[in-house]
Amino acid sequence: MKAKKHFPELSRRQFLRGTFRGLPVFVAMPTLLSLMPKRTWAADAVGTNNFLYMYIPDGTFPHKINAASQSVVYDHKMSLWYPKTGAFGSGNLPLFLKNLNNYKNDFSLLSGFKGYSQGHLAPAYALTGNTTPASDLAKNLNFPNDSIDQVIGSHLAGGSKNAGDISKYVVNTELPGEAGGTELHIKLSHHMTFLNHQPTLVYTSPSKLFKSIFGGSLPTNPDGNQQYINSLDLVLDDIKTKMSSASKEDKQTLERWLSGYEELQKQFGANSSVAAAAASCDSTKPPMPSESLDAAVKADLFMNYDQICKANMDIMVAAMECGARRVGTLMMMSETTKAGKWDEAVATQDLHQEAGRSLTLNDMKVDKHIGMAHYGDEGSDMLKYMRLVSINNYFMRKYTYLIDQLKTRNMMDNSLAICSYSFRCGNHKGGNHDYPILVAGKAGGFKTGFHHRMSNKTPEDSWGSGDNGPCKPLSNLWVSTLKKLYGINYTDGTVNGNVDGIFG
Amino acid sequence: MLSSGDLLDVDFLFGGNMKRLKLWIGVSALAVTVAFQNCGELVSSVGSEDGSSYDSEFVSKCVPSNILPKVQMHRLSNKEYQNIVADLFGRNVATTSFPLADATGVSGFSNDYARMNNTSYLADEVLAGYYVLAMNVAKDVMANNPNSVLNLACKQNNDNCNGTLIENLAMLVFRRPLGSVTGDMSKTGLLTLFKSQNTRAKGVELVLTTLLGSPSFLYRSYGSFTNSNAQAVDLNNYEMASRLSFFLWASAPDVALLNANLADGAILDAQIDRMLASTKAKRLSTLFGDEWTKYTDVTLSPVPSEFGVSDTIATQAVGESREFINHVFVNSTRLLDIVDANYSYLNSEMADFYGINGVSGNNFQLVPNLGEERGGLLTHMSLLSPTSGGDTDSHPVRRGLWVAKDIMCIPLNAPPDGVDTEPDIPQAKTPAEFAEYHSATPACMGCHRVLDPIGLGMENYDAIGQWRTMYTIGAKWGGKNIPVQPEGSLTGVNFSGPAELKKLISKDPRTHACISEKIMSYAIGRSLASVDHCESEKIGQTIVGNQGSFREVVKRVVRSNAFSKGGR
Repeated sequence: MKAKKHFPELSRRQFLRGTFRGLPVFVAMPTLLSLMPKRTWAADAVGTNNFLYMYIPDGTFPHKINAASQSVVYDHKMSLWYPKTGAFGSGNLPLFLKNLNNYKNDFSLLSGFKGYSQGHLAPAYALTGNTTPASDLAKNLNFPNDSIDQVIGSHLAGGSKNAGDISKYVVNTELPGEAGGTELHIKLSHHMTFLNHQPTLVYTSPSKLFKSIFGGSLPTNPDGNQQYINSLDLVLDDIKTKMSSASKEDKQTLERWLSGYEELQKQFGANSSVAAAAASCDSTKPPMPSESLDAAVKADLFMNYDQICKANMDIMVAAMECGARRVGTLMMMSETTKAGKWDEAVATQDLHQEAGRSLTLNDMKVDKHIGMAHYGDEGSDMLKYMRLVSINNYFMRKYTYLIDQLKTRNMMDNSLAICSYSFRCGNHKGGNHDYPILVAGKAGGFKTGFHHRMSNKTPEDSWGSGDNGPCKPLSNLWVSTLKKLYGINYTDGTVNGNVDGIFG
Repeated sequence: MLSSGDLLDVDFLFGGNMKRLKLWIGVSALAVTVAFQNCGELVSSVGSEDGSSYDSEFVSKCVPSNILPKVQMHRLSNKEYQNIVADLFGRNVATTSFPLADATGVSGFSNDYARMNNTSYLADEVLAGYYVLAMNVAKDVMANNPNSVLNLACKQNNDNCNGTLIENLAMLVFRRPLGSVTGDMSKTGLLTLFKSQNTRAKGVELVLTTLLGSPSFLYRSYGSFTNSNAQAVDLNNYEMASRLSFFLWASAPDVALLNANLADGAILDAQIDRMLASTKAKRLSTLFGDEWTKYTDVTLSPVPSEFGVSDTIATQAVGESREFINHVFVNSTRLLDIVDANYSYLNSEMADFYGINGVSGNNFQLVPNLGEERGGLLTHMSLLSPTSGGDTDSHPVRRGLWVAKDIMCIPLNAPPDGVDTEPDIPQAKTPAEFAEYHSATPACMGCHRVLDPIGLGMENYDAIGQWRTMYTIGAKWGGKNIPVQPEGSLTGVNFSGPAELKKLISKDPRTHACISEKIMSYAIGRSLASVDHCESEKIGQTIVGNQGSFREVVKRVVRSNAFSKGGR
């Protein structure tokens, strides 16, 4: 694969000084933007667009629900979904999208894509820093160790592919319980993993996320002097060294200082390039979430899941409104539950509601990860189908909440909010193609109100044929998005950004 | 290896000899068995009438321990921070600038490291606040007194001069040479930081911010980083200089002290003499003195104007006590003047208040030969007024409590639960009659046999500390024209009037031990552990001798294990 030419190398300092075509400076000095009428810069200035991605690692769509009683036909083949392609029209959307019926003009349904990676996190591999196995972009674009967020971050960092430079914009590591916010990127993670069949909870603390972006009650870098960050580097090194030989009690004290100063340095860093934006956030930021929410979530993530999702979505959108961030990903809770914890499932209430009765433990006894997410079309367990529908509805409500926030803040024109699941219909084999992708917002001229079905005449991708016929490489969607939203140009092999006219 | 929780074991090793207040031999005229309910550790004892006792045998035979409590890092108090900035850079830091307010610890002093290293106070915002404070201080220094830093080295803007400047500045701020601690902040790193700025002044500002924002500045530590042995080890020269400086100046050591060979006894003494001669030593009276005697706590004082006196007298009274204590510490050859002196420092307003003629002007001046009415802290308005507890009249119990706890260190517990601490005793017409109720009530008698006589002996001073021979204010004690009867008994010896009471207190070995304990506790920044009492009380014994000046006591304290060694 030939080496790619991306964008000119530019140091962070040059970038901040504004010697690169003016564009990055535009990003780095959001105060100027904030002084302009929002509609003007939001619609016209690439680089001021927001990219939000919400994904559900083990989300499922019913494979073969043919529930006559519901008068709705489901099929695992997206090509059979209503509408097959084109404008949504006046009819209702498929049942799993019923919560989006009132948002028909705000989003579109995309299908006919195929991702490179298989497995639970296939879409995430492309979109976040998870690069093992290699992401679509890494495979197709020869952009080592990269994903969408990193590419955008690199672009906004003046073109540097240096990991250190990019890391100032994009978080590569997902830390359990920690906000992954950087200057331009928010990574939220609310999920449950199944290590040795024991649920392990991971969540992003709203209060920490808030502080990492808006500063909370931490002081801000008073004059934007970047050297304060380097100054703190020296102090932090000093503390770390002393800790190695400190007594137990002194070590505790030093650890506290280490943690506190690291937070401060993070805050100073956040303020340095978006200082003006942070200031402009004063009028947009939501109230700082109470730290008691953290405690509540720690005590019972399931019962407080709605609150933590909403709080973090509020923060994410507010940060983008004022230009403090441009990229955000949100990995949601796993779709199902574990038998021993069945009554704590995030969708339990929905399940009860959809079933029309109180479910019993017996009802849920097969409701384990494999039993649900990998159910496939084995048998015709209507209750299981209903659970799947209710689980999907649950997440769709989260998605509509995100759309509502964007609409409320008049950000739909300069935002794309994408939602997808890792598995396609039925998921019985962990298939990696033709799963539905929902895209809300009009950034880059995206056309909403459609089912954009990719042509089945799209050439086969380079890594072989799929099990349901040819699909367009998913990377085409991401490449197209990069180009339309940020003016980033990629071409390579079959990945050419051709997505059949989803952008106007 | 012993840990901090092993102090009880240390006590056990010393067995019963660790009981400090056991028996005061020689003063007990009435050896009676008294049940001291809820009054300190003395549940039952044979000793003096007031129950507290002094174990002179223990003091004479004990051996100072070399197993000391661990010396944890402790943060600078705000006052120390302010003093350092003032001493090094000639700039003031507003008290409101600090993320945390000063507060006293178990020892009663704000430099108590049990308080200053408490991580529960260290929220992210608080820690961030200290760095921002450093930024603001550095900016202020370079804007208003840059030469205080720039004069530390040659003026050329090259690596040689700038490197020297960094080394000299770090020496003062960290109170030791840069690189003298393993893994210390590097000179190279600071120089890189320095050179990242466009101007020399900005470079210095950034380096100063870094130094002031570092725990190496914000925390004092004495050997705790490296010493993992059970036995305490001698502080190194810089640690000794630092501890000495914070003791006497409440600030960082100057260059002369840092460079002095303090292991040499003669040099150590010379440095102490030099430090006490410095105006910075006056902080002893405003920090140690204030916090020891608590005389600045005017919140409980009666309002002077309600007694026909200007309210400004409260401020003047504090000035009197500070000047007096400063004189005792720096100039007097007799530390016990604190309790019993025949002089004070007065200005015209204060002299008028006391009814003393011949003093003019606003400046405080030494006024000798005061007679029996004044002289010593017990006769100062600054003490007498707050210990009235805001009442319209004096409060003998509170005054007795202050003397017992802060001057004599007699261990006392709070009143038992359910006891009415302000009982209505209709038949009590005078404080003395009221005290009889305490003496006759089992729940009260244990402590009040100690407190009440002392307080009654100070009844010649009214609620705001003016002299009286008759009760003229307050119907509480039977109305006007009731003669004051300032009589009582302390450790079995009768006295009449404050002059005799002062002499008894100043002769009491508990007073000597207590003063020594207070000084040592302030000097080492913690309340004394059991293992410290041997040294403390040995030093206390010297207070009554020819070497009984504060200066000599200081020289003994800094040579004590508790001061000169780092804990495990």
